[in-house]
Amino acid sequence: MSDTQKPSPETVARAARELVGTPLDEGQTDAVAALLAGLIAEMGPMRAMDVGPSEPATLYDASEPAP
Amino acid sequence: MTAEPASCLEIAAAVQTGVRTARSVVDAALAQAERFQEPFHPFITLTPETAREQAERVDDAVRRGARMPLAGVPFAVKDLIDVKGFRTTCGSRAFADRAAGGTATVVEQLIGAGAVLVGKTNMHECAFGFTGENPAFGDCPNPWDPQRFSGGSSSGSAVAVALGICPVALGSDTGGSIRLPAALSGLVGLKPTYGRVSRAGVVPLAWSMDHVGPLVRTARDAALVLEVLAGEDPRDDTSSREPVPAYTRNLDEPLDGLRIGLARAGFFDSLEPDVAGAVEAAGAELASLGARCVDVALPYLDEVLGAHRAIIFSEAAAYHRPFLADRADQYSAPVRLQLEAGLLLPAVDYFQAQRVRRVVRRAWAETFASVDCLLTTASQAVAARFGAQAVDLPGGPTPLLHAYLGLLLPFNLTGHPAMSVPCGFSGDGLPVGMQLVGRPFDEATILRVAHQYQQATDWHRRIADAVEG
Repeated sequence: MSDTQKPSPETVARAARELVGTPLDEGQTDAVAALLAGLIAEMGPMRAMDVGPSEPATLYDASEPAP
Repeated sequence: MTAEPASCLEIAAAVQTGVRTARSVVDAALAQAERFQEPFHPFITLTPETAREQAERVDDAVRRGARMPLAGVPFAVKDLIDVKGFRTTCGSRAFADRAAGGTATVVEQLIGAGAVLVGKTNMHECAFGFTGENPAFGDCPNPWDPQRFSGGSSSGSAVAVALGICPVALGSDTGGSIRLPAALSGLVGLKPTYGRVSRAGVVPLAWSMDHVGPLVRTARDAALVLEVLAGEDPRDDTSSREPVPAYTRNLDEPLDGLRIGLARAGFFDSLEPDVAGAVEAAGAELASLGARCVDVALPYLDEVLGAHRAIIFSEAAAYHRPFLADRADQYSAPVRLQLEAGLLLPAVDYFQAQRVRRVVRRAWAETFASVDCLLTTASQAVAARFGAQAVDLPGGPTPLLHAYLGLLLPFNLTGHPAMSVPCGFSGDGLPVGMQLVGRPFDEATILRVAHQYQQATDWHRRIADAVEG
């Protein structure tokens, strides 16, 4: 697992605009970047966990119920 | 001194036997709701006309000999639960005019059992927070100390029951949002097993971790209400086909030999002394009732927090994305910020979190093989003052999220049934809650433990000063 750096407000603004298609207000980017940095730190142990062959807990169910 | 508010069981018995009419019970509930709206803001919408019509229908049915387990019981629902004819605001300006297209299954079930809807309760905006502060519809102060928050996100539901307006209100719980406000407000809050109660007609926060359940004063009422709510619902394809037991039937069975696990590492670290003392005393009380407390380990707690964060932010952002594009400025700044951050989390983190979830669930199943349920505190601290950023705990200043949700959210990730139960008061007179966690689909055991505990203690009988006044 590679280390990540705290996302900069500029990176956050570009990602929101270019990858998500939801531009952020200029005044929001610092706060979103700070929140993301905190989330990434909290996710560190989860990202590093060896989950072996486990598949995701949420799986597609082919037996769709009748509408 | 004000009398203890009547329970669901007591009201239903009185209405069923003709001692009271549903109409008189509902009129009293509506009057209490009006009395307490300022300054507690428990309701976003009151439903007096339909409530009185429903109550009169219940009275007619009783006169014709109908038997209903919740006859004439006034109830309220968190305002993310749809009721046709009324708006579902999710506690947000962004949804202030959202008309419900239908009625949630849980509401239909309660009305079918004779209960009467009196209103839709206030909440932390979009259920994405836990203090009960709400800039659009007013904050929900704690009835035990209005300078402090009531907990959320099902804040209005907790306040409505704690103030004695109605004996039951429904909430939703994605990271502790039923159990926390119940604990901080001196109530019982039950989060059933994931899939046990239908989510149909309930606006999601995070589909794979959302649970609907009751806030009440007694475990017996929780069992009574769960008997009405539990079961498969064709409208919710995550609802379970597991058989539904009669939850009220075995409540009085003794606890002799029951094994209660204490996960000391992770769940008993750094608690406020009053909280630690109350929960230790609760363990001793349960032991005196015949249960055997044993130490157990729940691994992966650090990973659980990160997995919960990845899932809740991703799923909430996915749901709200079209609304953000349309009306981002109508969300409050903190909620909008969280949703926009969720848009930017990598998909691989979401799927790693779902893989972690499966590993954790298997590991904890091994822990539950040696015990019948777990006992923890519901929160590390009693209710904090509005505006607090952290709480001072023995381990140092602790962010509110960790202090108030850290011991609750693991069971949203795993889906185990869990409930908070009043177990004492701090020196400041604020309620302390313990948490009981059961095996998947074994709500019956934690309800029995809670009921036996409440038969031996009187914490749940105490009434907030606001009600006395």
